Amino acid sequence: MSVAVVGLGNLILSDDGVGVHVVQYLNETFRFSDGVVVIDGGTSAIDLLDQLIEAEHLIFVDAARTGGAPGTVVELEGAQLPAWFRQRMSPHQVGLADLLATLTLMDHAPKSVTLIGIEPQSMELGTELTAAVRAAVVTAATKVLAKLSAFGFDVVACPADTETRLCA
Amino acid sequence: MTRIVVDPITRIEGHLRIDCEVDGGKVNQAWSSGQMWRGIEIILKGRDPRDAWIFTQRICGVCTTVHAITSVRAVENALQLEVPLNAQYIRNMIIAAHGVHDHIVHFYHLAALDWVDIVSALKGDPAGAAKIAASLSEYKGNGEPAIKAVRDKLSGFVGSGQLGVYASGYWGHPAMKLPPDINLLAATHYVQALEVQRIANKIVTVLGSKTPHIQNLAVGGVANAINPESQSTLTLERLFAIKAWIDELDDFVNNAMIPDVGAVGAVYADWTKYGAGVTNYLSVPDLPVDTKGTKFAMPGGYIKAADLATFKTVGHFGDPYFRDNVTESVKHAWYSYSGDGTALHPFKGETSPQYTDWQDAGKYSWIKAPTFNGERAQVGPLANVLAMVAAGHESTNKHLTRLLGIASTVAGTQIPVDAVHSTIGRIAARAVRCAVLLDELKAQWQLLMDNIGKGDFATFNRPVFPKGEVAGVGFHEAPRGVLSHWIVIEDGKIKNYQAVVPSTWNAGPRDDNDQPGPYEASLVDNPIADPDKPLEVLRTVHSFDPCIACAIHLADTDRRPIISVKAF
Repeated sequence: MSVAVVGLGNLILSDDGVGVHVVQYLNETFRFSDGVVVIDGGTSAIDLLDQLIEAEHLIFVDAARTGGAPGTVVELEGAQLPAWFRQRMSPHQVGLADLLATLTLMDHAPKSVTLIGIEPQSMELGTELTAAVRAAVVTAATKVLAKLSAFGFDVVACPADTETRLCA
Repeated sequence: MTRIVVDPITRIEGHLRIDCEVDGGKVNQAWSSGQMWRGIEIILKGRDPRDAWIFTQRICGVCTTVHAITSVRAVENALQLEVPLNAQYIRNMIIAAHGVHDHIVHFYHLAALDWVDIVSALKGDPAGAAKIAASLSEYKGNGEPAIKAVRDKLSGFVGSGQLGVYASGYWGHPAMKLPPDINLLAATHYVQALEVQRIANKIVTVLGSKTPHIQNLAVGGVANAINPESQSTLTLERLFAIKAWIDELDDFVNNAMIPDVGAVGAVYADWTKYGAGVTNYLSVPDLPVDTKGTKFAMPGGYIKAADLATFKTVGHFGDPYFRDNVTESVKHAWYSYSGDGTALHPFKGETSPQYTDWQDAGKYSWIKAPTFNGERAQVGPLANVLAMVAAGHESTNKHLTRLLGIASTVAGTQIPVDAVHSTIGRIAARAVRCAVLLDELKAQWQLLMDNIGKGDFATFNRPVFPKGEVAGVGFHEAPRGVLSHWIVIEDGKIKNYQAVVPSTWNAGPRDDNDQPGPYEASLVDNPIADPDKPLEVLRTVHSFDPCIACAIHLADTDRRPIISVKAF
């Protein structure tokens, strides 16, 4: 069994990049067992195909308009997604919908797709998250970990090497 | 007279709106409006120039390598820093592999659905399609069982209502002309291309350490350590794996893609009459094969008014012929400039927004209008291919001649080289460039192997930043055309930074002289069969391979295409 955790977003557009911030946090804080890959997907979609094609379960983390206050975290799965795509709440969604359709076309449709969305406040040029969204990073990461645990994967907290900013 | 507004243009990267005035069944005027990256200097000012590429590569998630490479080149130019040969060859392989990936995805997954009718493909006969395929090439994926499998798979997909990537097609539109068997053959290659583009991406990943957003660049070279003995460096095993992938790509590009583009181009030969637009062509040389950036595997330069005899080469990194002659106008864009407001050189670039509402004769876009020596220029694979033809580049001439030959055979009439100044011509040129890049990928691989074989393992020269101010320009012939980054460094920190991206050249609005930009000019005289379904507008715009991914943060989250048609 394999799971790919993919953080989407643009790191130089403030809260747009929150998905990438979440996977960076995960990579700096935890060590994942074999079968789990944690990917900085940036703002690409179809280009992720090669990395995602063998994954049985996909977990995406991304900025998304949820209707809630900045920093609100939602978790959507399976049947909730097509309707969500129709409403196009995230700037990266068109690519994501195409990516999932492409995986299906190539007979590699994942067994499950989960989307963890975080309401952005600002998408202006900038490298930092706004305060409310920064506070949501750990919440979103915790949801990812819960999902991995439900799939039966171990996650071990790991002190980060201060130079490489990765698990030592 | 009717005004068509297509907003947003779908199946591109980023946000673009196109307005056309239609009279007597054709376009007589057009406006191109979009977003562009503005203010990249805001996040770069004060930073270490060695880090700039890490930020600039986030400008675009599709072309992640191009901004990284252009950025390090800008700093290297400012410092007059040489780059070791191995680093050049590794960068060149990344460039070529990324370009091959990009051009395959563009033709099959972004442009083909403007010309290929998937619903008609379902009525195609696998045996008929296989026969046509065999007449064009010996591609191993053309067998009847493979084609039938695709038809059956697509039936299930389309029938399920989950149209997904196919949802924005114009099935049954009167301008769709391919017979069902050719539609089916193209659809088969579409599906096979999904596997093939993965292979191209694998090459970028191995060399770049990850994709998207490669990790292996550095100002002064690359971070890949070369040691044929060590498992953790770029090993011979990895290099031979890359060679095997290159061979697979070669089969698809030369035996499926080139024949497909030739055949589709032949059936749509009337589209060689539309879409010429601005026929001044600008490209830059690339794939440097020396340490100073004075010798290149792929030439580039400027051609005026479609006349190849006027070709003038851009000869080296930092060549003043390129560096001194680029300016950007904001007369018809939502910015203001200080001084008299006329076009500015990127070293003096300013980005002060000044929004007015849409004014046909005034300001109507967030994209600036670049000019070269005061003239509009079209950039992209067509500009690059024409420059290479003018420069006598053997591989380009070979592939262009072959593609025109296939098209002529299918059309039953000789298609002249001049036909490339058109919508279909841009698509053909992209396929030719893809084949050329593949030849170059092989050549760069050999250069790297030979150089390592001589015992040269160097990949990095350390940059040293002087006191005071230095400025540099980095340029790159990206999949969409000329990309340039302009950096001013003071006492080792970034003082100013401008990026002029290819789609700015092509998608820009009218300039200081009110001359239309390439998109705008290329739409004039395009036929419009049905203003409510402006497939023809999409054909021409998509032929440029727009990438305006940069800006795009819309407060409006509803991305369904809005086509509004107003009759006057």
